[in-house]
Amino acid sequence: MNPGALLLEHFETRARRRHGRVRRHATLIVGCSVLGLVIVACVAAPLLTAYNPETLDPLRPLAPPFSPGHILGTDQFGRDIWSRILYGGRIDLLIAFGATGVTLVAGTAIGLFSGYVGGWIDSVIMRVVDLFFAFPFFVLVIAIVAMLGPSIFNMFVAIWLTSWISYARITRGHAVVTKNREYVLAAKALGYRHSRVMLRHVLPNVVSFVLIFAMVDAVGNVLLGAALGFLGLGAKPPSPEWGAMISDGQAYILSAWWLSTLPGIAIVIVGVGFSLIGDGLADVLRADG
Amino acid sequence: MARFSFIGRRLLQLIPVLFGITVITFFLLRLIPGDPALQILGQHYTAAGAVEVRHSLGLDRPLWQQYLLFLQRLFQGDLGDSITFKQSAGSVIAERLPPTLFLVAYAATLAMLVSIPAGVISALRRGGIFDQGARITTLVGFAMPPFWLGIILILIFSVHLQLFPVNGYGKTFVQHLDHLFLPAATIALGFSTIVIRTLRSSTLAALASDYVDTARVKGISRFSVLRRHVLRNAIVSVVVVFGINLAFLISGTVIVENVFGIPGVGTLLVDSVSTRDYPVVQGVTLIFAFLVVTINLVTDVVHASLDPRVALE
Amino acid sequence: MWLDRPTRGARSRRAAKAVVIAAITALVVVGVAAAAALRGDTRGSASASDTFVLANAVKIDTLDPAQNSVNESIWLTQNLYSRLVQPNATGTALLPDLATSWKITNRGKTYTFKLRNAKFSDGTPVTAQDAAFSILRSKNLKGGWGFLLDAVKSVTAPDAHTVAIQLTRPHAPLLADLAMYAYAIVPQKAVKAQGDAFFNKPVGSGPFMVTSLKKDQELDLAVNPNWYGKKPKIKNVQVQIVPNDNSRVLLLQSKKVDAIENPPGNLIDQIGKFPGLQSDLFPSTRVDFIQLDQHFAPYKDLNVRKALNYAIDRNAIVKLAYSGHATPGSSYMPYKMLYWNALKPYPYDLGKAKAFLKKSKYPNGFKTFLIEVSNDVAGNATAIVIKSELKKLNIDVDIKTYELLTAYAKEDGGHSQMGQRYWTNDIIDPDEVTTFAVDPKGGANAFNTYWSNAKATDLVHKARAELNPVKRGAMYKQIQRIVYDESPFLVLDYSPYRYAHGKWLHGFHVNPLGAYNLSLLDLTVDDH
Repeated sequence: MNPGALLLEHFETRARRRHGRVRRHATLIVGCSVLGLVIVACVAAPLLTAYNPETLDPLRPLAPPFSPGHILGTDQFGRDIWSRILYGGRIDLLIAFGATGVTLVAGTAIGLFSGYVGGWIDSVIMRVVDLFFAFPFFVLVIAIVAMLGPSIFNMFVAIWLTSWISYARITRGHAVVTKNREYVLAAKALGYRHSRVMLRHVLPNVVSFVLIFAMVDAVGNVLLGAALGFLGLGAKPPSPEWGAMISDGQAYILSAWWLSTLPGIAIVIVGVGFSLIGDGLADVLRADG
Repeated sequence: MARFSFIGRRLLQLIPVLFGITVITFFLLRLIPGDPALQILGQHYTAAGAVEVRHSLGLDRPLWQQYLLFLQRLFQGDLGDSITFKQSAGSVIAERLPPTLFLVAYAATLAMLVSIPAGVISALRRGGIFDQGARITTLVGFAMPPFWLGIILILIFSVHLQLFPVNGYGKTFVQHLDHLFLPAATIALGFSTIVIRTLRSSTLAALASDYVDTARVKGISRFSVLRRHVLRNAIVSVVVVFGINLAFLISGTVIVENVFGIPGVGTLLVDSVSTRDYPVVQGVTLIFAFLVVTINLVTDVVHASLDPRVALE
Repeated sequence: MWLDRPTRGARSRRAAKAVVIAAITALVVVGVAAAAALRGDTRGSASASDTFVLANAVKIDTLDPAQNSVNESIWLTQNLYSRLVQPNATGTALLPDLATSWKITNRGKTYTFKLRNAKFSDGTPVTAQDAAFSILRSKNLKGGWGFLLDAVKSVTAPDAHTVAIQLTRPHAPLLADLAMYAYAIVPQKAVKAQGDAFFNKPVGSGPFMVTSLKKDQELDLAVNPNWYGKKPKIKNVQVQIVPNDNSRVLLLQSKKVDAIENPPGNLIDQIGKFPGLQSDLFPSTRVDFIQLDQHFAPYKDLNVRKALNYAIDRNAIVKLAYSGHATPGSSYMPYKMLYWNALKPYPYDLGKAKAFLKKSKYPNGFKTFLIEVSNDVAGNATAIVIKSELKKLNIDVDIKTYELLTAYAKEDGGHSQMGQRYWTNDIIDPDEVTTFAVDPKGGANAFNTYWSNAKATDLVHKARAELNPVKRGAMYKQIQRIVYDESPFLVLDYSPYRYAHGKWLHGFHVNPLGAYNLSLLDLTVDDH
């Protein structure tokens, strides 16, 4: 090791000890707080707003933000935007967790199995994975939704069918490396069942990487769900899904900019929350590892 | 030479991938619930017409024969007939390809112009104001829906400042540059968030590498070290990032074309969904996949030529 | 790394390098944009004041008058071809076009037209044979407008300037029918020789001719040097297809176009306040309605249809979908047209609606779907209002959105449920809309509802043959009453044609049939 790097490490360790665990966990804490706040707000929507997101009010269309009774204004139907953002958040958060959750579990399982087993099964599965990677993801999702028919459920199906490959690739790579480590070989020699070896010895190594990636994937899925809602291929009117709201508001951009702008800010906040959690996890793990 | 056999090897590896793409695209059409003939014929549905449609799509034959028929047509350049445009799907897609390719190239260029300086400077001045600012910008930028960003840019630069047209493609090359600036910038800004981060970490790694220490100890100026090793490393990383995230870049065009009304393949895809023009949807998916695979090959070759170690793998 | 602390000289050099890179990037970007902005001109080489530039919202389906089904295309082809007669600028009477005079003999069963000396844009003369060919071609087209002329026994050309039409029985709307866009005169030899390809660069005898066509982008017209009438004041017409509502408005604001079609309802007032611009609300023959396909059992039930009528708040639709620029609809016939029955629109009465639904076979509501057209802001808003209102009756409406032609295809053919549609008159006579809306054999299965009422159908046929205007008027009033009571479809509103233009444009006017071809003859465009 060169003298410069040694000295750098010395200084960094001193800094680390000085600022302690809080500093290391700062990003993670901020991310969790932001996301947590959003989740609580959306779940507690009925407590935070008196309006129903789908009730029309022909007397008060296109009211700007800070209008009396409507803190974020109303849309072209007089529907309260704050309430639509809160209720719409439920859909977008559902997409984030539902789409990511399933693909995380399925993709990890497949990748783990593939890497652990090896041989021709592994080759075949990885070939399939490589194949899916050749397709621009968004295009494939749209094509699948086109064939099945646009709806929120079919959007989930399309994401499940295509998103698992990233997780499979990550976990397979780690499984391949880990399966030849001493402790895994020892476990096998002790006669433990394969499933137990996979779950108890190989998986724990991968979990942290998978979770960090899952945060990035969650942001992607929120954006994807919103994009499909924007194109009318996922959530449809009068659903208060944020992407559909942005699309609806386009026609009014010249007279009522808040229709499209505010839901976008909501998406950014959720995305930043997930990203911070991902970054935070990376920071924590890097410092520990 | 090592490089040529590298290209040869990559081309060989391409073949199964290309076949696989055709298989997946072939199965796409089989996802349609119900009777495709009913969907295709719509109000003109007659029992006799349905038999004809099924025969022309080869649906009355065993699955493997259908696939061979599909493949055979593909080799002849026949992607099927568009239901709405009353011309071959291939010709419709060919007409719409130029704006999309222009947009992708434009966006890639703008992304590089922004990301390379930003990523390198972030790494050089690690922890400084620029770095912090870049981290926050990329964090927020990554979470921004591109369609939303596009609308905001339209609001600011087209509506209020009247600097750029709202949508369309224009007729001359200069008009293309004018019309496509905002859409390309929208895609570039999103894409840059990934590139800047990757570039930053790879530059940091390069700066901390033994090579740099050795060079410095030998007394070579920091500047030349920068130029020869770090910058070159940066460009290689950018090429790699482009390759990996290419699909992301191309996906971005679909939605941005839609927001800005550009008559490219992206809007064709979305329009075809709302007209249920399945042959065109299938054709576009295929073309996009080929595009990704081709550009991946090109980036791999560029990567290999910049970094000879790759060719020897 | 402390070993590597850069010297001040190196640091400033590095900073300078960064600045230079940033500056060059900025310069390149700004320079390109500026160059583009300075040189970008969508107008083409013609000078500004002899070209009229119009931005339309919908792409062109075809320039074949016999096959036109999209309104915007219809209004464009009317500039390319002549007909025997044409509607006047207010859509209330007929004027000569190719025919200079006509005689009606044989108790209304023979019409003889004398044609003027006219030429097609390629210089060949327009003959009576061309006219006879064109009319018969359109009449005999499967799925076309032939049913309007089912009283026509023969169309012949006794000589090059005379057209004779024999009818099997008196047919009151004949002249109005012949003024329709579908019966435009095309050159027989060329159409027979080239078939459909002819219509990519068609030859007509109207005031303008096509110089270039890109169906989903642009149509360019130039004055037809062989047109028989007085030369128009402008030399060229450029029609740009701009589907995005906001883009059209911005194009007008930046003076790149002279007029735009269909500015969004919520911007009508705002455009009026913009200096140099003016919004137009031209009285129209447009009727917006909801088709109710009776293949779907609930819609066969009269009580259900009545319930729907009372449950829909038309005033809310006017306010929310049209920003107030519309009128609640009652009769299926366009607002205040000839023989219009001033029935009162169904009022919004949830109580009555619930009562009717209880009497029906579906007292607990039902699930249904509504087909709407994408990119139709007013239509989409209407659909949302309807969905919201019908929810109160426990009727769950699923909105399905399709592109225009696909939506229409799905609404026809008997597999639909609720479908959004609108009507505009193509002729100035009530026979067209009545046949379409009421006569089960009238080409549209009664607006695709598959409804029929024997009494009404009988009246339709009688009114068509009745030459006495008073008797005819009474029959149409009765037909409207029957349709109103039976409500096979839900008439929602009448809305004007929305346009906007720059004040540098003079003389642009759209008649109630949606046609603006007559105004193009006197149009002028100032420098701007």
